[in-house]
Amino acid sequence: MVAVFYVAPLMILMGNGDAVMARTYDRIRIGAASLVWGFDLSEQSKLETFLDEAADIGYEGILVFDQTVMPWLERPDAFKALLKKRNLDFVGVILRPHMDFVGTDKLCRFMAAAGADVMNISGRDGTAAEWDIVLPALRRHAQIAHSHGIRASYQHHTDWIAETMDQYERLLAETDREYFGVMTDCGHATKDFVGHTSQEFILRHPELDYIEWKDWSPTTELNTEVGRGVADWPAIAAAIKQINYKGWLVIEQNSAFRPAKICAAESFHYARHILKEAGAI
Amino acid sequence: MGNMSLTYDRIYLGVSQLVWGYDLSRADRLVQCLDEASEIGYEGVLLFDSTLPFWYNRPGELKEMLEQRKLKVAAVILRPSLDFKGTIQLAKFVSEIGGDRLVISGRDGTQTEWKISLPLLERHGEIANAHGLRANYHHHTGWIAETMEQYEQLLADIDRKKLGAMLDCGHATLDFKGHSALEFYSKHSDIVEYIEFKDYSPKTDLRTEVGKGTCDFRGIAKALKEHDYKGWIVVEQNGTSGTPKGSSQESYRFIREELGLP
Repeated sequence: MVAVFYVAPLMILMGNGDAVMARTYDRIRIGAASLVWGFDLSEQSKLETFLDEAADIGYEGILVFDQTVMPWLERPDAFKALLKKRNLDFVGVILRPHMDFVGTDKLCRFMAAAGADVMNISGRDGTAAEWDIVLPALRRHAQIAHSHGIRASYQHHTDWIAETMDQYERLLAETDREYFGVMTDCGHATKDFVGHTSQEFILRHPELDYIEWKDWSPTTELNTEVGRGVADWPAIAAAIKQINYKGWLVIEQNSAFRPAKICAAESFHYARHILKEAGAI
Repeated sequence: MGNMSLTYDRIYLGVSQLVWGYDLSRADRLVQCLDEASEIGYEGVLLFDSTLPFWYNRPGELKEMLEQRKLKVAAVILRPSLDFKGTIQLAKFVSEIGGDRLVISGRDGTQTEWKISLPLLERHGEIANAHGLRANYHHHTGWIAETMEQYEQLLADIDRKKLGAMLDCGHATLDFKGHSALEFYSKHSDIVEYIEFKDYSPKTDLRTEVGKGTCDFRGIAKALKEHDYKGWIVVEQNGTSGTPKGSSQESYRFIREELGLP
């Protein structure tokens, strides 16, 4: 396994004097999102099943929900050990945004100690009517992550404040790349970026920090293995190659009609195949 | 819009579900709380937002359960978030079961986030308003307005058409360092729209029956009479070493017999 590679560590002096390193990557690394194993993995046995199976398949890292790490907040080393035992890295955590900024600070402290890279902000956050008051809260969550050396991004999503490509690009225009990253979810882009495509978004945003591969089909919705839906994966892989994307590529599926491991393995092998064909890995 | 403070003809005495527990989303646990509150003689209950989604599709049933026990919804506690659609849903439901007040109380940042959090809190209040409800901000340990100075600053900074004042006597006793619940009430009796009777003692913390802690309830009762307070007084206790019914009964007796309220 290749360790996370630091290119010219950029030292950012924080207000409190702590130095935080911005992380860069030398290649694409494929991670697994916990969601196909279930939304609530706060029970340790469920978490360990997920870790075992993700590692068996060949994933290099994992993404979990904020609530999954709550029992581990005071024990980052123990959480890290669970991953290390299986040669998995900690991609990061999905933060459902709220007004509990103290909670976000605690979460990010844990993430930094456990070696996470990414905080993806994704949760109910109002409507267009609340745009101007919600953005400062989203920015604040990202700033807190930044102060702990964690790269935050906003997940465009059905029914969140930025659902369509226009809404997401407006959000990106109104946030600062210094502490607020760009991500894209190919499944939600396929479903929600009406009139646009996922690959189009990627080509428009070569500054992409983080990407999720998820598929969508009108019949199986977002409960679709990567490759079985309508997302144009060869075009997406070509776009990724074209912008020379390096970093985490996390595979997610909302739920499944077959065992999680079978779905996650199928998506993993399909993704590797398509990425290889495109010369992206 | 523009629904200002609600008016009442007298004092109403209610009790908070919290004495029975934080999670009453299971119907049998809620029924026990309602039964016992009503048996003691309380006229209403304060419920948490998390208690209600179970009933979202059947407001009529919950309303009937309350009416059968001659209970009103004194208020519903909203833990503020960014989920404004959720607040719309909650406000609609509260109005359907005959409630008229949301008490906003939950983790909402620190002084650093003051300018971020206040407009969000106001927006929840505005949504309550739009559904015919009044919203009040609950000062609280660890919330953005904890001390009396912070709460007064919040009340000065927000649009009080959207969000009104309340007083939690227990948290005031614990958190208003150098001040007291009585001082706050005497100073702000003209804007206090809703009151919680909760007691505090260094030994039993906020798990104290009303009258057993260090809050000056006799002084507060006198001030309420002087200023002719009308509206809800809700008894709350963050859990109990006795039974919920026993403790709520003790607080009820103290308020009625010792304080002569309502």
